Amino acid sequence: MIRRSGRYFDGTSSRATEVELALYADGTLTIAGDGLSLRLARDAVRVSPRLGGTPRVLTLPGGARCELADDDELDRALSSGPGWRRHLDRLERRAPLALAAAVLTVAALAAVVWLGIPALAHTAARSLPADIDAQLGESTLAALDESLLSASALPAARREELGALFDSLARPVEPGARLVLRKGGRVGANAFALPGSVVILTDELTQLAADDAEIAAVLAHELGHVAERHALRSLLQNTGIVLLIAATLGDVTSISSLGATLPTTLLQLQYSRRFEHEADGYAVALLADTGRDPEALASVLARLEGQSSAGLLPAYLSTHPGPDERAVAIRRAVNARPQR
Amino acid sequence: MMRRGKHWVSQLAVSHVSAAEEPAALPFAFHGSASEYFRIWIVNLCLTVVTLGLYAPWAKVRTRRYFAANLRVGGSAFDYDADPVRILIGRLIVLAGFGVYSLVNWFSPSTSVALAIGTLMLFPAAAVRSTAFHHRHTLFRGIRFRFSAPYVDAANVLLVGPILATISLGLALPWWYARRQAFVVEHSAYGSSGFEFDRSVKPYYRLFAKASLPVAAGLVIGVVGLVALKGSMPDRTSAGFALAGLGLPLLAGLAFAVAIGQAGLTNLLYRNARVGDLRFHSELRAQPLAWLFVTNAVAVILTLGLATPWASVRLARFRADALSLVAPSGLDAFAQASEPAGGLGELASETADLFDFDLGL
Repeated sequence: MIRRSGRYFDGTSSRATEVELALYADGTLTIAGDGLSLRLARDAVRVSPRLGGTPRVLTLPGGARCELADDDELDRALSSGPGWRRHLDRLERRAPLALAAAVLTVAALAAVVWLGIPALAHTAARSLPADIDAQLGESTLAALDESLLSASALPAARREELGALFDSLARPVEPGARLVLRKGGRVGANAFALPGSVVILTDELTQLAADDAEIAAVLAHELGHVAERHALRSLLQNTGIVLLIAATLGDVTSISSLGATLPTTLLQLQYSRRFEHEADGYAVALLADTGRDPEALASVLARLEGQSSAGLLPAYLSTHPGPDERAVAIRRAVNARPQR
Repeated sequence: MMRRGKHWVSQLAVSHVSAAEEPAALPFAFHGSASEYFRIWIVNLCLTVVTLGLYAPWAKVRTRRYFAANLRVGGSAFDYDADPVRILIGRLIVLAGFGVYSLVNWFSPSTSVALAIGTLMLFPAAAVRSTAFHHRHTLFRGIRFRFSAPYVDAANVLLVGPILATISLGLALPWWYARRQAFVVEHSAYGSSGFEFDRSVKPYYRLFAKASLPVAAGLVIGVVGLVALKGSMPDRTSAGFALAGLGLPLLAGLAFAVAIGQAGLTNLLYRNARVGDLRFHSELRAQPLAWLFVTNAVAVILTLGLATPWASVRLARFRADALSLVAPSGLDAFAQASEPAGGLGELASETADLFDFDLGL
């Protein structure tokens, strides 16, 4: 038999009654206090699951409640409820198990982030109809034209040359791809691939490049983004990450939304760098296949990096991998290709 | 620790002054500990991830119960007893609704505007239902809290209010906060006793004026700093210096403004609310709160989220320490509200927590 003192509330009034509670070996429970004397079966009482050091609550038939301070002996005597619930408390009570839970969480999250979401986005991007892509591309281009870009100022002959250069690269691999020439203005020397197989090249980049081989290298890189549908995939992946973080760290937002947005941003940057590496690999193969020198990609990347505010941000805070890292990867890819 | 100590002194002083004319205020206290909550939190997170989110309602109930059952005033703890299965059903309904919404959007984009407006109109009803659910499952001394509000009132506060605040270019924002707090408090009840709220708008305007000062100060310091830096620096690095010169003081000003706003709004909420003859003292101070926010954010970021439980417990303790209850005739006189009989109505109102949204007090 065990005895404990607690507080009894009858469920209709907020008045507390100090009571003595006794639990007998035969499963009988008595509650006695000021003007109160109850005798009932232990099984008729609902016991709140154990949670940290919070009080245990016995709910009697009819809605009256009895609150007791928790301790191990009481917990053993009350032991009730589904087994998994008792295991849950044991998980929470032991530091090594909590540590194992932490490791498992990180591993599961990492698997979802590195493998699950990219694979899902890849499948989804493949199964989406092409006109969704095209529509997205058109609206993105319109938005860019409105805010950042303006019409190309290159002479018509030069524009035609660039178009022919692009066609010679794209026709065999991505016949639907389209080159759009624009004056970059604030974005400067740059090239992007939009959804819907649109590749934008700025005037500034054509002037920065040493020769047409370097421009071809940039275009091949952007065609890599087109072929792998990176624009749509990154949109899908970023949506997935936001949903995942909102679902798992839901209660973080109440403390500081910065705490939740930071991992989101870091992961999105990580995805974006992975795509850059993929596009580099694609460009190396395409340049070599069309009889060009893939080294031009490494040299134009170095040139591009030189004109932007270089080295302000460490690699993990950038959307693109560092130029040295990329040059190494490009040369490795070049060397790995069978020699002809 | 010095900070805590000083805080307690001011707390005692308040109780002492009020003791002269009325019964001593009963201080609130939070008894949870960071190490205990960390283990609960990490197990919750782990099971939620491993079950692909199915466990989330159980995690949510355990978390809420931990924070309720560790909050004590006048020798009694709060309690939270929602059934996770109900929350799961609510979330599955929302998921199904979202699926239908996406499908309709996909096949007939022309109806998407009508659909979006319809969803928006549903939002106040969902917020009321969700809040009612959490109130009903929060108990103190065996008595349940309640919340019920007519749709029109909820729509006025949650839809019309923000629109007015926006078209008035923020001038109506303090008014909106006052209305929102009045809405939540006046539709809440402890058992059969409804809460009342002192509806004066002036203190809210005073608070917002006060909160805008650090932002203005940050802006002035930033601009002055920028001009000073600009003279000595070459043009090329101006972006970095704009960030350091203008951004940082402005950010610090904003953090301080948020702390002033949160502390002030919490104080206004509790000082203006009463239920029966119970009243509250709330002495949340902006400066330590700002410090708490900044240190919490830094700790959470540096530990990649692992310090989250510590930060939550710290915030709960800080808020509880600032709050006390004045109960001239004790806490014994409250009665449970008579619940409507069970049945379909009860099932519907139990399917709650629809948007995981709570108007929270």
